[in-house]
Amino acid sequence: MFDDLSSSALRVAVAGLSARQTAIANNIANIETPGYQARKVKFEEALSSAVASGRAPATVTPSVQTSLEPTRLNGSNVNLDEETLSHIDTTMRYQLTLRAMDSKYGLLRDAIKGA
Amino acid sequence: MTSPISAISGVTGVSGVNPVASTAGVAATSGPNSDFGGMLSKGLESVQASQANADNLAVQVANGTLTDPAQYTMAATEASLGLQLTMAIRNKAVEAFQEIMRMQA
Amino acid sequence: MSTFNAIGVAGTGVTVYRKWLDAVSDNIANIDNVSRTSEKAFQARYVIAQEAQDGNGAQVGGIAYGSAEGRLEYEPDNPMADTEGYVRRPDIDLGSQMAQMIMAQRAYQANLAVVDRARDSYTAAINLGKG
Repeated sequence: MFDDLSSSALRVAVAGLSARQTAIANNIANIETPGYQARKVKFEEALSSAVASGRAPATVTPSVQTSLEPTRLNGSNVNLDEETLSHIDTTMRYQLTLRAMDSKYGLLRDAIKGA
Repeated sequence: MTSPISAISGVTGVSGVNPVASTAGVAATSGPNSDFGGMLSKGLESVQASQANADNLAVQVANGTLTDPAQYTMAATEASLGLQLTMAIRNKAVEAFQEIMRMQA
Repeated sequence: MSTFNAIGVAGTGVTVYRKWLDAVSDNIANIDNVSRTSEKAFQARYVIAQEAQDGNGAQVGGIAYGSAEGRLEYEPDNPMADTEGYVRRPDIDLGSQMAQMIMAQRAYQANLAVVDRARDSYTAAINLGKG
């Protein structure tokens, strides 16, 4: 019942954003770890192309890749500014995505209550 | 998700209000703009449209291409309130119909 | 980061000014650098800021380098001095570097403040219409 396009796309987004939160936390924790390669989570492009070509969003899984940022003196390539801003963005997108799912549940709930 | 709209079908039964008006001296409800059935099905169409709009924007929320988050939240709020309003009108109409039927009996 | 566009744009500002701050700190750290007259002096680094190509914010357009000749100083006791007693020191003025550091720091903080305020507005947008 909850497998229409927007619900499944939102579900993928929730998984992706949650994975990104974890990756950011890891990156910031390891900011001074010598040789640490920052991790980036990607899913938006895969999701867009799945939706555009008519494939089910459920086929999209978030992928973890290493960042291409240049390494600093201690060998770690974590860019604190980028991680901080990405964290703010991810937190708010997570809230917005959950709000979207909540709205969809709410519509169905209203219909059930009113019938 | 099953469209919530289908859960509140049965609206067309309300149009039976029209023939009753002439006997009970109740203000005539006939006429294209005051036909409850027509009004409610138009309301349902617009709720369906605002839901479809909210769904499209939700997909953009998911893949990060929506440039203004307020667009989505406004659309979602409009869809939700539109549905609740249409249902409230339907329920009132059904109550009024039942009231009138009781008067007839 | 296009869902919260203002944050993305401020982010580009933060990156540019961080690079500027890094360059200035590097210049100051090397201000007492000594080189032989046969080598180049430490060259100050200048970050060139320009508007981003896609119109969203700013970017570093390039790096400019200061004079490689530096200043010739007469220090016969210095182990790196040449036969005439000269060494090269960087042509960096501490006062001007400090002024730049203040500007870069203020610009950096201004962009972070934009992020903060944008976050408040977007949060209001996310909570719009909640019953």
